[in-house]
Amino acid sequence: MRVNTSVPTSVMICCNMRNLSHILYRDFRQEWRQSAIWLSVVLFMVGSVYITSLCFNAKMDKPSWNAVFWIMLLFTSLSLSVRSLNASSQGYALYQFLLFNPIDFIIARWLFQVILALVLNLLTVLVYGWFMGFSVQRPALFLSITVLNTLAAASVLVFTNALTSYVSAGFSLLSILSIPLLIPVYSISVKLGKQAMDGIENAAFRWDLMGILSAVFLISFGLLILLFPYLWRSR
Amino acid sequence: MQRSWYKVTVVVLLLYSCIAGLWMPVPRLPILNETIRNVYFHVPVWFGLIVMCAYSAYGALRYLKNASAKWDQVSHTAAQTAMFLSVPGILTGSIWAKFTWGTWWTFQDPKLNGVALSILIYGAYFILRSAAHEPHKKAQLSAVYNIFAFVMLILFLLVLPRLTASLHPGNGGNPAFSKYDLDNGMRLIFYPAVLAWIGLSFWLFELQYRYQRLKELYNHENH
Repeated sequence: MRVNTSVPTSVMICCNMRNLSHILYRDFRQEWRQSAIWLSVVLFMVGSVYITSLCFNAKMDKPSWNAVFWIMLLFTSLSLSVRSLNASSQGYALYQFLLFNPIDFIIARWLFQVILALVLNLLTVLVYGWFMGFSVQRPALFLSITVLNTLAAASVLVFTNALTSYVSAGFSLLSILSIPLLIPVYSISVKLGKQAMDGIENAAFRWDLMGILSAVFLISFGLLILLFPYLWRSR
Repeated sequence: MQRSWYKVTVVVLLLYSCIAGLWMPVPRLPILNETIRNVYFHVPVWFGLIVMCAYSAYGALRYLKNASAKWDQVSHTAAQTAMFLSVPGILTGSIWAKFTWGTWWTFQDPKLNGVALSILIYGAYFILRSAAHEPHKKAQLSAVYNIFAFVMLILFLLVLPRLTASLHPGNGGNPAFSKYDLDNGMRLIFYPAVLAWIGLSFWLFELQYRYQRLKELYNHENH
């Protein structure tokens, strides 16, 4: 393992797969053993779906079904991100700084968050569909919209998470920083989800909006890789 | 007065664009009629704002390259100026909308949503700055967030509205302002207006920057 003593002068720092997989494995193992973060958000999600089905008597018209689904995804993603915020202690942070490359660290952190968020969101589709019905004409398209939305939202959230982890007033700041960035992501997803529910054929589907979601994802991920080393050395 | 040539030019151009903008004849277009004159006021203000945001992002990049307090101050002040310019930008747009669309604001239009979001994003930038207390950390965090915010601003304000259905001129299939200049007469007033407002935004930036630097020096000496 390389000790991080030099300031990165270019972004072509080689990503050490062994380090990356080590960090990732460690994160998942800690999550599995403590089960504090992800399972609590799953519980939160199930609770929200249940309350929604109670409020609506499990009957909803299509636009409302769509809108409530995406709002629920927004808040569960935010919850997941906020809970991951203070996962590591001060000592572990120093250990990470001494041992790991910032690029390895942030890609591992990003992968960890994205995998958790993906599983959470796909689970939400299942649970929500089970309680509230799943009258989507094009399920595969709807799922792919969910996946793209998760990628975009999770990337934005990892970025703001990385920023707010350096500041003490973390929790509320994370929401304030991320919500303006997430609003367009979710409003686009609502539009696309509605199209998928109505079974719009490929020619009339808004692929350019999918392009915007991909752009948000790629920009967030790209800027994360480019800018995180600067945050790393200010520890 | 420092650099009086610059300031006199800006004032002259502003006076020219405002007076000529309200006085000179404009092409008659359906629905728009006289409100097309808003092009001389609304659009240049937003040009100034985008230029200020770009300068702020540039300052952030320079800070990340070599950490000098000067570039952090530049970045912060340019963001403040941009936020200040959003007020006349939105007011002129709102007044125009009242006459053309019949409403002061609409939540359905993607450009207007993009504007609201960009203001929230930059507002969050200032909140982030106030949350970090140690100067270097504050500067580092806000520089990183500034670059991210600027790229998102470009995406949500300039790219997204052009793709989606929007009533705002220049987006969603509506003709952009360049198509209105049927006789080049509008261009004669519009381009100086853009220069004037960009010049004014840099003047405002300079004033605010000098004031903040002096305040910092004063605090540094007295504490």
